[in-house]
Amino acid sequence: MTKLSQTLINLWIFLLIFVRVLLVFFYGNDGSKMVVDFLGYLVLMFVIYRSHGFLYMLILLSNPILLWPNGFMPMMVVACVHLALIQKRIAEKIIFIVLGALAFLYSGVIEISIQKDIGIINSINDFRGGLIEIGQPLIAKILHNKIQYVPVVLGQAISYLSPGFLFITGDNNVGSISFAIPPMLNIYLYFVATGLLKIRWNKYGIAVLVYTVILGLRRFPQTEDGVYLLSIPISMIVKNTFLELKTKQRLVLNILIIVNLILLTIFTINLGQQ
Amino acid sequence: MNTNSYIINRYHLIWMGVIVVLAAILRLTWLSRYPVSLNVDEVAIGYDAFSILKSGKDMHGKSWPTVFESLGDYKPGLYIYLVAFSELVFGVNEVAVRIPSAIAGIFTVLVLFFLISELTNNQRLAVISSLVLALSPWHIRMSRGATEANLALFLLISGYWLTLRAIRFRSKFNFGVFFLALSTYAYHSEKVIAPLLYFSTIWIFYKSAHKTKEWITWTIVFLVLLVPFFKTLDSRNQSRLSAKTINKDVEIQMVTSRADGNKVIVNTLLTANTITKRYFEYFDFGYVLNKGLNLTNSSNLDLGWFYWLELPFLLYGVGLILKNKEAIFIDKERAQSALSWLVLSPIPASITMDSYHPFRLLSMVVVYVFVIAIGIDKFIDLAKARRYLTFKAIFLVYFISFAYFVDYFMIQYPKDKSHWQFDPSKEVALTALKNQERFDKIVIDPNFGKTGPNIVGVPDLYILFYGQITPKIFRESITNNGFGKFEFRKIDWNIEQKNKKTLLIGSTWSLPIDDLRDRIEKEIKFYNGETAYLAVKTD
Repeated sequence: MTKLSQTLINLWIFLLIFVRVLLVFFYGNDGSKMVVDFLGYLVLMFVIYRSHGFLYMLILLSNPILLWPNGFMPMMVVACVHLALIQKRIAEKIIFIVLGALAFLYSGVIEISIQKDIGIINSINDFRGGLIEIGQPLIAKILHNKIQYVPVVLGQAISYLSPGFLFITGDNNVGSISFAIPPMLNIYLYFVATGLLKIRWNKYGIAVLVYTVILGLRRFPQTEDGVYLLSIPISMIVKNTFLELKTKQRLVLNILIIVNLILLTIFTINLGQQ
Repeated sequence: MNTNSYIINRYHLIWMGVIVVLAAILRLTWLSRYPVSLNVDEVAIGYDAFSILKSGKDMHGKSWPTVFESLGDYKPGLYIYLVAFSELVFGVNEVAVRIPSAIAGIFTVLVLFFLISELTNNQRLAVISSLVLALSPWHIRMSRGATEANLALFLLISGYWLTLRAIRFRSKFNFGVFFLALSTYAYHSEKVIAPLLYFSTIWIFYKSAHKTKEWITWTIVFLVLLVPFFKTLDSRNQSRLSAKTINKDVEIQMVTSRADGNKVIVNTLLTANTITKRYFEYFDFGYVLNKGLNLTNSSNLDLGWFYWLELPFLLYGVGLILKNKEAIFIDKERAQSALSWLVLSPIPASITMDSYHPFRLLSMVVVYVFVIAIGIDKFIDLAKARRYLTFKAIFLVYFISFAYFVDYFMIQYPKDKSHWQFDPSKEVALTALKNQERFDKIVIDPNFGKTGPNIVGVPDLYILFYGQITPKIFRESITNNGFGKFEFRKIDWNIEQKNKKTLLIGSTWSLPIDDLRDRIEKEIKFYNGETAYLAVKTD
């Protein structure tokens, strides 16, 4: 890639993200633009990963993620972080980090609000009361304090990584028995499992962990945020594993993914008509 | 595998002795006091055992049943027969009802050592696994209640270990099949897991170099031992089976009835979808770590099936298994067989109703414990020169975690669940029994609750158990609403106050405390100090 084309691509990316952030700032996070945003993002990734751009597009596009609302801004946060990491020049890294921070601030959905949860504060006080009643105020203070936010945050975060949520049920995780839409295509469970098995997920794996902790810091965790934050690094893990398969296996799986893509499109059209 | 591995290193032997004593202390100390009272199922088990002891019949009059009708939930019989024996030794009390589960828990800790040695030939890992299980909040919780699943787990582990051993030695007799078959008489989940585990293990080893003809004899013995179980599948037990299976789930039935098109196909698809969902729920670490034990009413703060501070070891263990399982297990077959345990464990809980059922899933505790132990074992290796410091760090981790468990289990759990799991039915029964000479009639209202009288207790069963009323006397004195002087029905004070020499025991929903202050014989409180029942006399 020449210096000029790299600069042009970067300029185009800056423009795309900047305009989108400005739109959110002035008009709010309108979910109706989701599909357009998503397709814009796909083109972006196709340009960046030219060598495997088509494969990556296919993987991302074949995910049921398209059916989930209001997720462009969290996705932009991830994209900016990702782009900042792959830039060579410091100036461009900084610009992407600033854009990512802007997207983060104005996403309106990713916020650290767990400390406002009155339910946790009440529980801590209640548990303290139990110990004070039996004459153990010191133990009450040692055991039940703000440190109890840690398991809550981690618990919320880890729930996003459950295979049931990502590949099988999505937000219909518990309770409801209606047919569920998972964020990721079922078949990708195989790829992620294989990727984990080979431990070839270093930076994407770390990205997944960081994003889940961010998700855990929310008072009311929103499943769609999790979907968008996690879909990109998980798709990268899938893509990397996919590239390691033999040609014949790849062909079979390509066909399978395209069949899934067609089914998903039919399902989307039906859903739109309803 | 080197057969010498069964000569246990003296160092490991001492450690195992300490761990078993620790397990016994944690499972037997204050057994009658924590959990703070017998729940409905425990009392039903206790009275069925007493009934068997006195008459050879269960509380419904059936002689020596394999499956007990009990409260209509058709309990497997083995645990009840063991309680009958312990009641013979300890008398009819809380300890007698709970001790078979506690002892099974202690032996599970010991047998796990042999099982892990058999799978990995690593005695240090086996010792660590036993220690992790001895301290496991999930296993302690289950061992301290009359939990049939806990007994079944002990039998399952023993059966599995002995089967692996029989395969290794190509033994003619496999005592493991006795334990595996017995586990199906201890708990319903094992009716699914035990045969699947046995046949999958045999299949894994048969297709490898371990081909052995002896397995035909073992399988015949196993199937013969299951004959009484198949015989119990009469129409009444089948009704329990079908009532608990997931396709009878109310929501599935509701959606199916509303659906257009072929209802059979819709029902099948919904059932398959729900089973898949349930299956994967048990791999949601967020729930497993935060809310698995369900000890509190808090939507956020609770305890999970294992300690939070064990999570790094769990993840490290998972990573090690994924990276190089050959380095952990003796051979590929044992690795596959252990993996089959993980895959099979959630099946019974997935095909039945109720999400996150910790009893039906108890066999999975072994998998979690094993993976955590792998993480700890390798972590100690990593430390090398700083091994002493590592031991201190691990000790600190468990000390802090255990402090939380003690607090939740002994302080918060009884207080938070006092309106439901720990209602003072025992005190109601003792009050009624104590006053039966003074009154012509004792009426007990079984309805109670925090926000309204929406929970129905079984005070009759508590009176039968704590009064040690023999089945013969019970059956001879049955009346329309109860037995003997006792009546169990809704109390309406406006009507009841006209009765003479009657003791009324009911919640404040049926007996208004402010109007009856001068008539109150006794105020019975919930564990959290709130008024639960009033014992009120009429003129």
